[in-house]
Amino acid sequence: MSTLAPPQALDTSGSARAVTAGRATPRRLSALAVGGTLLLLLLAAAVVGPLVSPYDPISQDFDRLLQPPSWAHPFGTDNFGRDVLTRVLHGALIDLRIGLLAVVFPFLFGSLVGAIAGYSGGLLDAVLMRAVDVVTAVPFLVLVIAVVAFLGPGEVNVLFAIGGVGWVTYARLVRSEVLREKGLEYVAAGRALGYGRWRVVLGHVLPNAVPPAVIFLASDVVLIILTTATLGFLGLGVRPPAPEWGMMISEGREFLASGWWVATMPGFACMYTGLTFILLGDGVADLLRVKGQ
Amino acid sequence: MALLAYALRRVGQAVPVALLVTVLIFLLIKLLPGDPAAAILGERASDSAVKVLHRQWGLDRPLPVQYAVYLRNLFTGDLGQSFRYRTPVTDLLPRRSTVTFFLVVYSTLLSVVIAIPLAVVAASHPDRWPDHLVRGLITLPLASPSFWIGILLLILFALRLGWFPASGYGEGLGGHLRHLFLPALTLAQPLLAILTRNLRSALIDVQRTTYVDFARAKGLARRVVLVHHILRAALLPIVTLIGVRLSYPIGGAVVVETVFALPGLGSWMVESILARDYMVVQTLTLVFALGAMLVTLVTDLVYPLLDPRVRLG
Repeated sequence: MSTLAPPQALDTSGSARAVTAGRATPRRLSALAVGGTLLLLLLAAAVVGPLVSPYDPISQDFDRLLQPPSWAHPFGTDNFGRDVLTRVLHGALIDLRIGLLAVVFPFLFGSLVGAIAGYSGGLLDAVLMRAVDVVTAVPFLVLVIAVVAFLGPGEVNVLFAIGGVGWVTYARLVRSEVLREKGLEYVAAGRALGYGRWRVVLGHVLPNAVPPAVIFLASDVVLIILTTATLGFLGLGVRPPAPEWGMMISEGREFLASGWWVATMPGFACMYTGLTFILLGDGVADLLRVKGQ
Repeated sequence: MALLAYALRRVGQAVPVALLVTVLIFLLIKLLPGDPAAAILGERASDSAVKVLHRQWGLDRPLPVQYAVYLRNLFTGDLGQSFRYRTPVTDLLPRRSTVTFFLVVYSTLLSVVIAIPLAVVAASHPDRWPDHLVRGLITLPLASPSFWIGILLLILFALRLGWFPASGYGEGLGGHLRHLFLPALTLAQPLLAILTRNLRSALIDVQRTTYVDFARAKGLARRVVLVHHILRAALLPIVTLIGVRLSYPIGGAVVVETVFALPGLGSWMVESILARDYMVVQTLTLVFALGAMLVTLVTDLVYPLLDPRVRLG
């Protein structure tokens, strides 16, 4: 699963190069470049950190319980004597993996539903859009938590819940774009050439209708990564003793007075990741808006 | 008259969606792996107990009939039983929802009260250091999990400095305001960030209009122009934004109440999930959903009253 991360990194540097080649303002370049650099650093730390760390993220050491940050343990140790920094670094791959996977399904499914609804119109459109209305009516976090509550905790169920709830925004965005594109000449041209319905929708209309959804995706990644951590915090994510950030913060709540570092340190990792993807999202959004104009 | 017609039409749109929401939430129980009755009663439940529950819930009947029973129960005020407390959900609902209601309103007020000065400062110096500082400040909470911000506030202001209590709901209005300050501040973060960002750009736009130029040319004091001309016009769209975004604090309450051990709906939902008290989880999901829908509806109804420019066609 960790193979997901490197292509992401390559993608970023690739688009950063594209910016330099095109008509880029320095500001846009800097958001992408800074975000991309932060992401590379995070990935490097997540891959190299566990290799060079002398500590194990899982095995317990009862001689070193709740030690404050020091040179030997920069983030301190937790109530089982585990090095918090080592656990935070191991957790990076868990949180990034779930967060990035969780954003792919809503995007694909939502875009597909939006394209079908917008292009076919009529009853199918009405039915699909009522489904979108209904899911949108329930607060996102509440519905995700409820779905995981019934499915049971665990990584696959978290992915399923976020996917099952998060697709609606993409469906809406793509549908309204498809409605606009549908009337354009190239669609009529495609039909006149005798192309099938699906070939026109998926091959020609969808690629033109998808940029707003990609812009939303770029900002949605942050929300999804934070939602993943939230589910972990509530005990609904991956099972202990896996070093997932939200769960680590939750475990540290019992020691706020005697060991503040256990709960606070993984949160800094979350914030770093959030900032990274906010910058990347801003950069990607600007890039696509320029191209669309 | 146009207003009444608009209101009726808007309510008319909300009712079918609300009904469909009950279908969605009714179907949640079908997500349980295996037999729901066995899942609810636990692995050691006797066969006869499972059968009783099946009959009680009509689980042996076809799905549409089950939904009809569910809907009839809702309309007759039967919101299900808590297996953990052995009481009807309706017994605990009023007390618990008061806490959540207070918290959400409090945090919304806090986010407005904090967002206005931040946006004014940022918009008065666009692209100068105060603007950059404000924009940086509001990005941090958007990048961080709310429960973690809550824990930081808890460590600093409750445990270290002792200014606020670390948990509980308090007694009387003063007690509530003091006990709920840190939770409300935590919950306010995302809304605060969005309001500040939007109000900032609205303020910058309004500043460029000719009527503001005119007000200044008349020699009105800076403060008067700011409060009566600029803020008033810029705040209106914010009302709709609050209505649309209020599902953030409503959803966030689930997490924040858990951090601060508040006896509200959100912490009840989390406790019920961990105790596998599924009926309560189902009912609370419905309560949150209907609450959010009600807020959206009320915002839509109130907005034309606030903005005389809105034409109701």
